[in-house]
Formats: sequence, C-alpha cells, structure tokens
Amino acid sequence: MPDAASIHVVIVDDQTSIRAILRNSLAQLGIINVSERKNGKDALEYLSQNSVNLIISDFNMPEMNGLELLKAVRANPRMAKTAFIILTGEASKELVQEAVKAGVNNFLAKPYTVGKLKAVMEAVFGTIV
Amino acid sequence: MDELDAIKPIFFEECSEQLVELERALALLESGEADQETVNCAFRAVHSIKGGAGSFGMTELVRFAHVFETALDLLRSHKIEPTPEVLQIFLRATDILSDLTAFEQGGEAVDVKRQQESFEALERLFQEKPEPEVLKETEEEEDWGLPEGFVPVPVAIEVLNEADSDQNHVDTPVDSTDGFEIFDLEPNQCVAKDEEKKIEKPEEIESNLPSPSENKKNIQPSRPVASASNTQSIRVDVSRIDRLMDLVGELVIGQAALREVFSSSEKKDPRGDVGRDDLSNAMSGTEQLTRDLQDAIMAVRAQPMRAVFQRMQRVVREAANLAGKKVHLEMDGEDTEVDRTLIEKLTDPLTHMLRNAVDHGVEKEQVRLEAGKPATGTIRLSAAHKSGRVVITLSDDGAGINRVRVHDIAVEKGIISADAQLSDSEIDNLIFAPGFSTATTVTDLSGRGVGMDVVKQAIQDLGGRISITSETGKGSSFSLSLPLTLAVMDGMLVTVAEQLLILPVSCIVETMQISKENIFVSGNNSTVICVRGQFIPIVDVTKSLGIENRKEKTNQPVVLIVEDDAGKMTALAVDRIEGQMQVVIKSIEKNYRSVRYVSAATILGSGRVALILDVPEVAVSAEGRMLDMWTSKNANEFSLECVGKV
Repeated sequence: MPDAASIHVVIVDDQTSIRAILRNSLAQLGIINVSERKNGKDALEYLSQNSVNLIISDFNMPEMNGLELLKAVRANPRMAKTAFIILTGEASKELVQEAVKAGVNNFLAKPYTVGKLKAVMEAVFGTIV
Repeated sequence: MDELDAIKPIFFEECSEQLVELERALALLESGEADQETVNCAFRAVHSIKGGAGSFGMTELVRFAHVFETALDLLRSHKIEPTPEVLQIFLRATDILSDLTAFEQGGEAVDVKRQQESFEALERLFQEKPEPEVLKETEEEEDWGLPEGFVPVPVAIEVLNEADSDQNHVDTPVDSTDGFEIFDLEPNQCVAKDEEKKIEKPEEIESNLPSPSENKKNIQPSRPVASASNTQSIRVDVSRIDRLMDLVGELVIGQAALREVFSSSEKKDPRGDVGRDDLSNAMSGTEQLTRDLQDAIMAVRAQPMRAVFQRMQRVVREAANLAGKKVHLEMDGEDTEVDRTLIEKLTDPLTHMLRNAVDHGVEKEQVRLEAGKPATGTIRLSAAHKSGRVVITLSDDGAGINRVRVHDIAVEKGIISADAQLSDSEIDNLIFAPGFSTATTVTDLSGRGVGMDVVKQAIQDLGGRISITSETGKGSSFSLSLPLTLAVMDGMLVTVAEQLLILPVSCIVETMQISKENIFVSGNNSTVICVRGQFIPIVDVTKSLGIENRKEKTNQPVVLIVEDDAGKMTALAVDRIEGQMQVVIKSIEKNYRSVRYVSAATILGSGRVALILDVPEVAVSAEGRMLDMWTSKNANEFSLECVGKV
C-alpha cells in the first residue's frame, strides 16, 4: 500500500497543457512529487540523474517517442524495473503490442478521468493511500 | 473545474502553434519539398489538438480532429499520395479545425455545412481504402482495445534514496531559468516551456531554435549557464510584460533626469567637481543599461511574423476560391521578429490587403493568359528589418493600378476636382483616400465595408506608414514600414514658438538653417525652398499648429527635411533644434483626446510634457494646400511667417 506522497512521477509529453492536466490529476490523488519532461530524449537525460517510481509517457512525441523511451529505460539496469505507463490517444495494435513486448506496465487512454488514472496506477502499485 | 479552466489558455496557445505547424507542413507538401518528418509533423499537430481537446471535453473538435488525423495517417503510411486534390481536402480541413478551435475559445460558430463537407471529404479518403485499420474503431469508447490478455505488470514502490529525493525538490534546474525566473511564478498564467530543460550542448539547442532572434545577443544571461532555450519560447501573460515595459519607460525618463542634473551642475561650475568623471561614467553606464534593458524587453516581446503570415495562406486560398482565380502566395522573412502587439494588430490590415490583391490586383485566368502571363497569379508577402523598422511588402503580378479609372472615380466621389493634374504616384495614392473604393459592385471579398483608407489608418495608428507603387500590366506593390516597438523611439527635440515638440528621428533626412534667398513663393502663394537645386514645399509648423501670436519672431528658422515612404520630401520650419533623445511614447488619445497634427506625447527629463508631432500629417497639410491650389479652390492664406521679415 504505497503512500501517494512517496511516489515520484515524471510526466513525459510534448504538450504543456497535457502535462498540466496530468499534474493536476495526480495532485488530486495526493501525488505531488511530479516532474515534467517534454520528450523522450529530455526524459532520459533527466532519468540518468534522478530516480523516479513511475514514468507516465505519451506515445507520439518529437525527438524520441514513448516507445523508444520505454526501450531505453528498460535497457538501463538501474531503471529496468521502474514502472512505466503509456498515456496515449493513439492505439494502433502494433504499437501497443510492441510496448507490451518492451515491458510496459500499463496503459492510460486519453481522455481519461482521475478515477481511471487511479485504477491504472493501482493496477501497477496496489492500492494507493 | 477551475484548474482545467486555468490550463485552457495554454491549450489554445498550443493549438495555434500546432495549426501553424500544420499549415507549414501542408505548404511544404504542396511545393513538393516535404519528407517523412513533414508528414509526421502534420499528423502530430492534429493528434495533439485532438488529445488536448479530449481532455477538455470538446467533443466536436475531437470528432473532427479524429477523422482528420485518420486521413493524415493514410498519408503517413503511404496509403494515399499527396496529390493536389488530397492536399486541397487537408487545407480545407485545416481551416475547419482552426475555426473549431476558435469557436471553443469563444469565437464565431463554425459553418456547419462546410464542416460537414470537409468531414465527409476526409472520410471518403479512407473509406476508399479497403483497410483503414489504424484508429478506425478506436477511441469511440473510452476503453480502447488493449491487446487480448494484457495484464498490467505490477511493481513494488521502491524507496528512493535520500540523495535522489533531495534532488527532486530542486526539480527545475535553477541555472537554466536565468533571468527569466520572474515569469515562472504562476504556472497557469505563464509557462516557460523549456524551463526544466537541462542543456548540455547549447549550440545544439541554438540550432534548433525556430526563430533566431536578432536581439538575442543583447540578452546577457545572469549566470554563465547556457540560456538559449529560454529565448526559444517563453509564454508570458502580456499584462506582466506591459508592466515591465512601463517600468522601462520610467527608467528612460529617470535617465533623462540624470542627464539634466549633470548638465545643470556643469553650468554652475565650469571647472567641474571632483568625481564628475565618475558621475559621467555612471551615467553612461546607466545609459547603456537602459538601452540593453530595453532591447532585452523587446526581445521578450518579439515574435516571429510567422504566426500572422501562415494565417494569410488561408486568406488567399479562400479569396481566390471566391473570386474564381488561381493565386499562389509566396512568403519570405517569416522569421522576422516584431513586437507582439504589432503582430496582433497587423492581422486585420494584412488580411484586407491580401483580399484586395486577389480581388483587384490579380486578373482572371483568361485575362492573364491573353496578356502572356502564367495562369496562376503570384502574390508575394515579405518582411524584413530595415534601419530600425520592420518593412512588410506585399506585391502582386496583376494588372497594376488602372489610373484612368482611379482618377475618374476620385473625381466622381469629389476627392479631387476634374481638372486636377496628378502624377502617377499621386493617382496611385488616391486609393488611400477616405471614401474611395474601386469595386463597382461590392464583392464578397473586399467589400466588407472598409477601404484602403481604413488600412492606412490602422497602419498609422501603429506608428507605421504605407505606400504603393504600381506598374501598369506588371502589378502593384504595397510597402508597410512599422516601428519595432510602440513604446520608445529616438526623437528630435525642437522648439516652436516656445513649445517643445518632438519629431521621430527616423523620418528626418537632414536639418539645415535657411536664408531668405532660398525661399521662393510660387504662383499661388505656395512656399518652397530650394535645396541644392531641388524645390521642396516648406511648412511653418507654428502655423500648422494654429499658433498665431508668437512672441518672438525667428529671423533664422531651422528646417528639418522629412521624407515619407514614397520619397516625397517636405521641409518643416521650426525655431530651434534642442537635441536628440530617446523618448517614451505616451498615448495622448488615451489620456486626453486625439489631437490633429499630434501623434503622442512624452515626458522630458525636466518633467515637462512634450508633444510628438505627427510628421506625415503635417507634411500632408502642405500637400493639401497645394492640391487646393491646383484645383483653384480656396486660394489660401499659406505663408511662412519669416519670409520678408529679415
């Protein structure tokens, strides 16, 4: 039963508004330790120096997309086990399959509700209090 | 949901950026210069709009963006080719998407019929394909199909080590925000997009900047860490910036006061006090700082013209469709940066001018072919910095101004008298006269109740000038010259009948003292001066301003020769030149009311208010008199006070 306040999340999305909304949703769940990066490349750079509990990443981004980020994260022994949720509106079967193969922990479809976000996170972490 | 409402403006700003990207990508596709990344870019733009719109529950926008995105995906996966027909559908869809976004922002309702047509056209693109596959059935439901048997992978929460969590608190690397931290106080109002970006290779970031700012070199980072990313895209609530702008204005005034103190102490003690050098140094330092600060602020406010220019593609497209003409819009200098206010205020005049160019400038296809021109007309829109101003030119390869007709209409409308003898350029400029409109029938395009006089007024209100040159059969070219900023300018301080007046330095060609021999009174009492063999009309500013009983008569007036955009010179006679200084422009209209011949006011170092002369207006007052004389109405009272009084 992880404590919401102890979870450190990094949001990876190229859209400022989406990041802001997600940050807001997380705050409603009591998760306030949140960082933001605007593409896979920036996120990777951030992750090389910071440890997080959860990466919530968009699929389609310039520079480095969510799938490439996932693969890079999994390839790094230090982050191989870090929870990774893909947030996306684009749900092509192949991409989803590839993400599953690469070791994604869960998916969150856009648009989502705070309840849905909670459920998706709890499927990974167990009940969040 | 208050929080969501606060995020909405960010979303809309992103939307307009995405729409610009989309337009640009489609333009590249049209010209055949596109690569795969261009298509990705277009797809991503629509995709992002859809994603954001979904979060805000903008269902209509989502529905449309979805079908648009699906069609673009076909292009991305090479299932369809970017033929002109396909691109036409995408361009229309872009317009609708832009309208839908504008509607969500509280704009006009979208034309339902056009939206439906566009929607169906997009649908047809992928219905013709046997396997649309991607996205087809997805997202209609909130739970899109996860792959069969996918089970979320649970992990335990690790306790992050101390060092890490400490670092987490200084999440935003302080270094990279350098001078702009101040803008980062309320994330909902102002978002420094790249605030968190850590920069290892500044040069790489720099090369990625969409619009290298000319002013960038003036921004000195307060910390030695690379700052390039901050100049890339900082969105700031404009009212805050306006406040900063006001502060800079005060600083400029304060600096003028400092100079005042200095020069008066100099008069008291000509030998100079100990430490006067220091004072002088400090002052020049302040002076420099003031300029730098001003430049930096201007850079913060500066935006590339691209935002306006890209919108013009649509204007031309729609105007050409309506007029049944083929018109291609070429653009140049989209990266030219100008003050944000200018960008906003330029949209309407430019839209109107482009509609005019399509409607009146470019000929119908048949006419063009007969004249040996390519069937498609070309309109060129360009922007560039030129001696401290931004110059926008809009030219077409159409028929040019029909001077006979313009002349006839001007006579008919009583703008000029029938026997007026005007030069070609004077006839061309008649289109700016109030009440002039060449369209015999009010078309849907340019007949929206405004003429070029309104455009001219709008440009003048921005402190700009507009002029036209035209060549029969070859086309017309409009030139707009605008100040880079609306807040501060270089001014020439002059005295006229004990009044201090300011003229913008930018319009002054030369200053000289005149003697009686050089003043000539021509036939109808119009006064001209002879400068190196050239006759220039001379205006007594005192008279123009209506000052009748001046105390002292100047025997040796000074003239400032000013030039308008068309190169027409006028000499303005004043009593004395006091000097050159930077002045902060204060609107006189806002604080008092609009005054003829005065464009604005400023506050001098001494605290005195000085009026800024509306130079083109004063110069035209001379021209008007001459026109009156040509038309032999109202033989006038114009005379220069000083003539014959020596």
